[in-house]
Amino acid sequence: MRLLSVVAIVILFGFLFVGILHLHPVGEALGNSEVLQGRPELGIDINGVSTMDDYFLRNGQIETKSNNIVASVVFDYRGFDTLGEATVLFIVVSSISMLFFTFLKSKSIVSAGVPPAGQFPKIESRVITFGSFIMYIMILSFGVYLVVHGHISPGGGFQGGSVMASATALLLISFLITRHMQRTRKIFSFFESLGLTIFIGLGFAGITISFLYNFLAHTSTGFGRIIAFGPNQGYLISAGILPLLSLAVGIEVFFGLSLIVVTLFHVSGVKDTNSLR
Amino acid sequence: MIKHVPVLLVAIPLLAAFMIPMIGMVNRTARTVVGVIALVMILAASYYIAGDILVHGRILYYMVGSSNPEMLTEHGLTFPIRIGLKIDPFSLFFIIMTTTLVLIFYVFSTQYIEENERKNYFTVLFITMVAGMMGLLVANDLFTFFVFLEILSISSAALVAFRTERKHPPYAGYKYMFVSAVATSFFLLGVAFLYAQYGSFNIDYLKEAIRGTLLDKIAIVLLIIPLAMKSGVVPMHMWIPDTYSEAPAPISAMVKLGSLICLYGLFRISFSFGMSHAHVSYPLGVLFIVFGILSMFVGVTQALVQKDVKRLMAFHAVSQVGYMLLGMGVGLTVVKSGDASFALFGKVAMIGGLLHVVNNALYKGLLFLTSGVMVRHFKTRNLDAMHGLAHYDVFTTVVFMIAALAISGIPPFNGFVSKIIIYESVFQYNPVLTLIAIFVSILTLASFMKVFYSAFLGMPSSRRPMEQPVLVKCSMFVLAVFIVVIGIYPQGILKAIIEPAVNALINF
Repeated sequence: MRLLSVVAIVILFGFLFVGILHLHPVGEALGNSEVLQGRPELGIDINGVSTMDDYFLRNGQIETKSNNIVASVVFDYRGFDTLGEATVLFIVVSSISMLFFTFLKSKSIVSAGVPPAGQFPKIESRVITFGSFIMYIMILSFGVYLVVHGHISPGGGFQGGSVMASATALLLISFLITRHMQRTRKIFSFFESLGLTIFIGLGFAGITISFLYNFLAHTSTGFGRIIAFGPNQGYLISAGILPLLSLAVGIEVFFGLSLIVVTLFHVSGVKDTNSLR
Repeated sequence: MIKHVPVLLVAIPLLAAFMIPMIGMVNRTARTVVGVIALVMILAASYYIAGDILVHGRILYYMVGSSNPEMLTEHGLTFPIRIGLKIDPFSLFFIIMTTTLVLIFYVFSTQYIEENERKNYFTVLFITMVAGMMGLLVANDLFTFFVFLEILSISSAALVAFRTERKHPPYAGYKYMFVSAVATSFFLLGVAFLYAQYGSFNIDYLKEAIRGTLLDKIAIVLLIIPLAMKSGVVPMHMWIPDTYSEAPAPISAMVKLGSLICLYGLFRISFSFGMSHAHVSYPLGVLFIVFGILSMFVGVTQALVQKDVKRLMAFHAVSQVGYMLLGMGVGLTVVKSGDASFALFGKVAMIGGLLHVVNNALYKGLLFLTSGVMVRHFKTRNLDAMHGLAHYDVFTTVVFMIAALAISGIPPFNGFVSKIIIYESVFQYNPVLTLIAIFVSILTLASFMKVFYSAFLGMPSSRRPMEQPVLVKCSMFVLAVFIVVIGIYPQGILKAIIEPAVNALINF
């Protein structure tokens, strides 16, 4: 059996290697390279553009008014996939809440190292509690910065949200959240759903033209502010609905990941899992 | 509004799923009603576009986020830059089947699954599973297809493990999750190969660009093997018995439906990418036939020896997939042969295979639902410990009999129609294949006789059964009606939906 699996893996790697050898050489043009008419009135230039990524690099900044091409691909050109990926996180959070439900409801929960509800933790160390609180604010503000500037600089909803969720983990391990676990989970769950509802609501807002249409980018003021082509410092209020989508994803990821951390922390305190059956 | 239907089919269930945790905190009845509303809306939307697509032959395209969503390429480009969705008769056939069946299964689960706070999450995952199915069916973009495949896999895996208070369901859910993760990773690898070579994810664009080189063949294999794995084809069927038998009854039916959706992906990708060259389509068709024969035979022989009623039905699910693969595989081998064989029997075989998909979804769903009722009554899945249900529960007995006779291919039920079409057309390709298929059908009848004899006949059990809730009965009744109607009048569905679907698959 072990020999069989080794042979299978060798064959698989052989396949992949042969496949890679047959890929087109790096730098060779793909598709057709005929001269095409652009849309000069929109400032879109497709002269010599032969692939999708070429088009994004050349025109992403002008079309979506976002300085970060990655953000314009993630939230505008392939926004539907991002909705799907955000849904995957939502499903994971719901699954964890469902699968550990009996654990969370059980009376015999003693969170790891934390005394039963009604008593204060025995941790007296001012260094840990105060230091964690300071760090909490700093990590949170860094996360908010990443989310809010997602359309200008590297970052965005997913990254900033995960940074913020790590702050929740810090609160847990420094015993600043010890009681009211159920209420905390409810609040987190509410805001997670709210973030996703905002995301899909922004998608529905443009439905007169098309779903997830970047309707704010087609004005010339406010979120549709025209930005120059090429490297520039960018504006916070620009890029149409991209910053709003990024914010919605940030809310969802922050509360979703926090919910996972809180739930698993809670579950790890269950002493006797067999008694639950 | 009709032009937005492709995206609404996905967006409406997603919106409902996102709002359900908030609504469920306030009122549990409202949460159930929101789920019903979302499913009814997509059902209405799918029937609303049916006339336009089937009668007028219109194909709905949708580019998400574009200023003119019906235009495939923007700004005079020759390639699409956004995510494309598409509904043609072939996907419409699956969409109508899915939207109808998920509503029935949802209605069943509203009263079958006990009502408590945990059911909020159950409802959320059920609706996201529907969204994943709809996403797979409308996607015309390989990466979107991958994303929704993951949504479908993760939500089904969690639902399979729903009964965490028992010992085995968490293991079954973990197994399904592991298999799905492996499958979707390989699928992503195939997508990556095609993207690296041709610079696009769009299936229509790739169909034109593909040249049938060695790289394309490797990519196609990497795309279709994971989908075959997720539809439970025999060398990759090890997850089926555990998953179907440990899940709650409506979820078994839903996972079965999900595996049929993966079969849709298998057909769509092999016909899109394999059709352009005969040296690709012929081996693919032979592969399908081999998979089909293996699945039929191994599935049914494993089912014969089972004593666990849900495991038995799970192995029959494996064996039934074989019929569909056989029909479609015969069509795929001869589609590029250049002589008259395709017009003679290839197309008929494909029609039989597709009709078997919808028939199988109906009677397999009904069998899983009745098995839920049986298990709930006897408090065990062991057939040896069951006896005499027919004395009390005439309704369940009748619907079980309808489903069992339909799966064994007995007239006048729907299984007979699709099986006879497959037998007759495959006989002209190779008589041995038909003989195997008939033999498998006989074995199927034998094993369901066993279930009927041990669970429904015999001495009445001492435990009086509880009266089934009205919605549970209703949903089973509707499925039974569908089975009988298609069995008595198959021309309707064949002419109206399946023939356009096959034409769309081979001409598109």
